[in-house]
Amino acid sequence: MSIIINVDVMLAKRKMKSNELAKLIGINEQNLSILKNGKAKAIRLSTLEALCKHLNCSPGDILEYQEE
Amino acid sequence: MSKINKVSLVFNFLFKALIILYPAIIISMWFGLLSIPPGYFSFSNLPILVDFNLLLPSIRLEACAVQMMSAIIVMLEFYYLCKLFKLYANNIIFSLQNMILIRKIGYTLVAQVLVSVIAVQPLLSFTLTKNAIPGQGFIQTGVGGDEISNLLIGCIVILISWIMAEGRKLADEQALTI
Repeated sequence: MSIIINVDVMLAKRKMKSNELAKLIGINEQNLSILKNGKAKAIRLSTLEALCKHLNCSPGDILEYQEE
Repeated sequence: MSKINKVSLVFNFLFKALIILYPAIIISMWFGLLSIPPGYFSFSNLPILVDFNLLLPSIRLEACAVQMMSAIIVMLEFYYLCKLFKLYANNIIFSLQNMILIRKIGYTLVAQVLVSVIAVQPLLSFTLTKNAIPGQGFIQTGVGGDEISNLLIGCIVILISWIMAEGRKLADEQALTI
């Protein structure tokens, strides 16, 4: 997929653990892992909003378009 | 064990038994172990009267072989049903395997009608009448209420399997929406 989800990059920048973020945004670790591995087919705006809120960033920091 | 598992196990066993019983009943009927019920054949309006009790063993054998053509399709249908209920018994309800099996059941229903109209009815009518008047045999085929309803059910089953396959795709997408 040409949309890259940079959650792991943002996690490293904020020095936050995956399980911690999963708890904060209200999804389980398995789903967060799907998101990090790029296996997700879609992301809800509410999930994106929660990610931005707790990682203190904007959607552009999390989502990136890369030409295949 | 949930209710669906129990019922599925019963149906699994039933269809397993039918795979063996169905051809056994056909063979028994043709060889006089069971009487052929009146109206069993859809071509009962043959121009000559066929007395099943007076049929030669060779004719019975041929007729039985002809009828086994459609029986094989019915047995295949039972086999798929058996596999489908085994999946249900194992709590596999909306998998790709289920969809494929449901589709195959639909195809066998349609194939059963086609084989019956194109091959079994003409061959069976000819086999039963070829010795009635020396040198003459009648070939008869037709589409009756049974064939039409089987065809309709087959088409509906295929359609349902397509809808279920689409539903499964949506469910997969939903599962991967975070």
